[in-house]
Amino acid sequence: MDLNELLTRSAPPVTTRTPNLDRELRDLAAAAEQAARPRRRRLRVGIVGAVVVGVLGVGAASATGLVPAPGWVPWTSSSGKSCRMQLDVVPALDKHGNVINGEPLPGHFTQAEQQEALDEARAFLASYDYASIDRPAAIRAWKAAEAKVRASEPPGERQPILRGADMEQMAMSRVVWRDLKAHLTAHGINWRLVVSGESWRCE
Amino acid sequence: MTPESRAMLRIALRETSTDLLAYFERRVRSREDAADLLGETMLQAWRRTDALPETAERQRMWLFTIAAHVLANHARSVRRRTALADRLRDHLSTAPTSPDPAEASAVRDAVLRLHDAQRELVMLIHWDGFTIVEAAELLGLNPSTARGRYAAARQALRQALAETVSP
Repeated sequence: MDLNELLTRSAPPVTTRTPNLDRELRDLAAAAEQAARPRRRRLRVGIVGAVVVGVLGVGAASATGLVPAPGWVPWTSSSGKSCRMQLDVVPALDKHGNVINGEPLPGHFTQAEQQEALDEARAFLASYDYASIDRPAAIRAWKAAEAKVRASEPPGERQPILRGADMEQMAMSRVVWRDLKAHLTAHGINWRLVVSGESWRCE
Repeated sequence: MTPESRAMLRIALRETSTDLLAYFERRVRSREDAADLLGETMLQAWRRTDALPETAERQRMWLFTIAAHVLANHARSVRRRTALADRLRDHLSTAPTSPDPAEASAVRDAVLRLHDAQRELVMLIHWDGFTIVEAAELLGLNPSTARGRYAAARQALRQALAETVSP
C-alpha cells in the first residue's frame, strides 16, 4: 500500500452519509438562514457594504449642540437640518494576520499590506470631496437598492423605509464607500483589508 | 442580500455541508462539537452573503475559510452550544460512522505527530481532498511554500511509517 493510500485511509471516521443526515443538514442550513436574518439597520448595512461601527443617528445631537470635531464633514439636509458625518475605516487583520473585523479573507496578507490599505483608505477619505456627491442621484440609487432588498424579504420582516436626513446620509456614504472600493482596487489594494464605519448626527 | 445570493448560498451549503461536517469531525474530540461548529459556520455564512463568490469552486473555498476561522476560534475559547444545532447534535450522537481500517490508527498517529506547519496541510490534502494549492490558500500560504512543507511532511511520514509503507 503506498503512502497516498495510507494517508487517505487514515482519516478519522466521520458520520455516515444517509438521507437522514442530509435532511438534518438542510434543516440546519435553513435554521441558520432564519437566525441570520437582519432585524434592524443591519439590512441597510448590507446594502452599503459597510460595517457601521458607531452610528449616532438622526436626532442624536448633544444637548449642548454640535461641536465641530476633526474629521467630521458638515452637510445640510434637504429639509434644512445641520448635519455632520464621519467616515472612517478600521483594519480587517491584526498584526498576526487574524481577522478582527469583517469577513474572512482569502489568501495571506502581510502587516505591511494591511497598513498600506489602511493608510491609503484614510488618506482617500481625508481628501474626498464630499461636496461633489450628486445627492439626488445618490438618493435615487439608494432607494432603488432599498426597494430591491425589501422586495426580497417577507412583508412581515421588512424594515421601515429610511426617510429624511437618515436616508440622505446613507445614500451619500454609499457613494463614498463605492468610490473608496474603486480607488483601492485601482491601486492594487484589496479593499477587504479595511472595514468601513460611519457616524453621523443632525440637529 | 439579494434573492439570487441567497439561492446561491443555499445551493453552496447543500453541496458543501457534508464535507464541512466531516472537516469538523476530523478535528474536534466530540461529534457534538462538530455540529455546533457547523451551525456557527452556516450562521456566519448567512450573515456575509454579500461576500459570497460567484463560482461554485470559490464558494466552497469561501465556506471552508469561514469554517477554518470558526475552528480557530473554537480552539481559543470555551465551547458554546447553540440551540441552532440541537437536532444535528442529537442525530450525530447515534448515527453510524465510516469504517476505521485497522492500519489507520498508526498512520493517523504519525500524521498527528507532524509539526504544526505540516500536519494541517497533510490533513487538508489527504483527509479533506483539497489540492496543494487549495490547501495553501486555506492556510494563507504561498503555494511554493506549501509544496515544500508537503514534501517535507511526506518524507517525515515515510520515515515514521517505514515498516508499513511498501518501497
